[in-house]
Amino acid sequence: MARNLRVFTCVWGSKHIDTFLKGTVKSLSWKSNKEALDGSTWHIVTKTDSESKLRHEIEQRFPNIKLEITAVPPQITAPNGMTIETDKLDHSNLILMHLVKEIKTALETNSRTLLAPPDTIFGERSVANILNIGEQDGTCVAVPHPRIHPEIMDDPQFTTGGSCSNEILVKLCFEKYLHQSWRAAEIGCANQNSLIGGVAWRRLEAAGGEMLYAVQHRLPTVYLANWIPEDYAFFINQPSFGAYDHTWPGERLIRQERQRLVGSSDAAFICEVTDFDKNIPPWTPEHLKILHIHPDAFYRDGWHNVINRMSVCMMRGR
Amino acid sequence: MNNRLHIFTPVWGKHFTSLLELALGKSLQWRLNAAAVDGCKWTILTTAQEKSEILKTAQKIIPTASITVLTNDRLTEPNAPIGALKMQALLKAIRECLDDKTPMLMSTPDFIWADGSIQNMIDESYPAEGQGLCVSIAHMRALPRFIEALGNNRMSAQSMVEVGLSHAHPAWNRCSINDAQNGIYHAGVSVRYLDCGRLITVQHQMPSPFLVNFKESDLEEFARWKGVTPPAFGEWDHNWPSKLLEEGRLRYIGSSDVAFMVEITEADMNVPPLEPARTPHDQFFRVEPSVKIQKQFISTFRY
Repeated sequence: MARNLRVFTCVWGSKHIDTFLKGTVKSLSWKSNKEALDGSTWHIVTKTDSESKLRHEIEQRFPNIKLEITAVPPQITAPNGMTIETDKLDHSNLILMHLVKEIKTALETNSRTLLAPPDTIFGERSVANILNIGEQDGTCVAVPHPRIHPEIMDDPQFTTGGSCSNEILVKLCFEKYLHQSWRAAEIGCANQNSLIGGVAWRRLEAAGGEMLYAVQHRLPTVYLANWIPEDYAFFINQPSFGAYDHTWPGERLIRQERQRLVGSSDAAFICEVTDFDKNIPPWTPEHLKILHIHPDAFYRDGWHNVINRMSVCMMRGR
Repeated sequence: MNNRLHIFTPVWGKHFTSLLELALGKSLQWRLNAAAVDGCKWTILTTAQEKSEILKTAQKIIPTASITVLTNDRLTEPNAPIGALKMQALLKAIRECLDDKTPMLMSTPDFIWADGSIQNMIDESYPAEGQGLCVSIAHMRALPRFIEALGNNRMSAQSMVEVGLSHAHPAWNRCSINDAQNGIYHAGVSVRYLDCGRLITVQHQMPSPFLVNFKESDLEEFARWKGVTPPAFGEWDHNWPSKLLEEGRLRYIGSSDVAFMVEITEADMNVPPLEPARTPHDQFFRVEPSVKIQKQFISTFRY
């Protein structure tokens, strides 16, 4: 039986909402991406003060989806009866709490979930291809995603025209807006940060004005999940949302033969908007001694980190 | 002398001798591939009778190569243990690679490498001493008439995918996940034609390592008898990749743009039986650890 599609986003705070609308929502409203979402249910978790703005924007741009907004109130009551200010809650815990609810709902409604974090840009056609690659029960589609500066959202190639293809996005990312965390992940660069960052890439020779990058991403994100009941049991016992990238793929997905890592940006390309000064992996010259021998070394050795090292994904720009 | 590469090619009989020149040989002479194999060592296994002809052909293909022709006349005997005989020769070539500290390109005469693929695989294997990295790619089988379409010009991966699809082998045509009857369970390959035009995703559960850097332990592994069964060539892509995965040495390339190869296959050879599509559709009868991992990687072929 064909499964339904749910899209899941947690977003609050004016800055993130702005990025979400300018980046994520814009890219998902490109023709093919939008068509792929037709008939889906978009579950947005936000705070009460942003609910009406988000509802207005999403309903206007996506008339063919069903929108479910969960508005987190300023205060919530914990199971022990304690009142907690939500602004003081660790965001990772809040996201996890709603992810667990999302998994439960998806399982109950025979749905799969496309994760659309508010800092994420999907290349045109990527959504349809991800859904296609992950059509099989239980499979989860992972995509390696470069981090890029917010200015990409003001680039004329991004803002004008009907859409941004994967190859144009790859070019914009690598040529103009690559975040320092990725810039310094290039193999052989003087301050290569792969040991902590978990990403290592190289430029390959390419003809005809194209650019090719070979990328090893030790912890790519799962963007499409076909949940199984075990996932609910797993996440309900996790301390934070970090488990989604850091433990779930290694402890569950790969051992269950469920990961489908997309090997080329031609099929799907996703990038993550990141502030200039955020997510910079710490670096010391000592790291270079290790990277000189093993250019794709990473300090973590989760099973997914080990396995994903062996998959060399290509990003092609034009 | 190119100390970066050693090629191993088993070839005998009229059919494969002809492919050495028309398939593998042609692609090794394309500009970028020729530069990658220039001055390499080339170990060829054949029969004594064919030695001089093969040597002449090989010298024409790579004039700068240092060529060693190993002969074994048992290759043409009826019921000869071909796999074991090929392995004997391979073990000698592996020993040389280990002594020379060079990677090996595994290249049978029916392989056609897209121009640039060999150097890209060499680069991807970071041939730094001691790491033993091995590069795998998904490849496709095409019918012999593919060779006629090659012409005399070099072929990029993109054109080769396109021509390959026009002359695809039944093994390939039986692996579409959209077909109610398919051969995926026996082939271990599933193919998906994406809606976005000239792009295919390929899930190859048993891709072969083609550009490899050996370790001493590999030699021991290949030389090991399995009970009463002598070491055989099938180890290469059936069991060895599991060792490579366990040791973190495999590098599986995700796009034909970087490396692509077509294997010329007769229409009646290697055809997986058709059967009703299974659920899940990518079930494969083999269950080696490498299969369980490699099924989780989706390559693309672009044309």
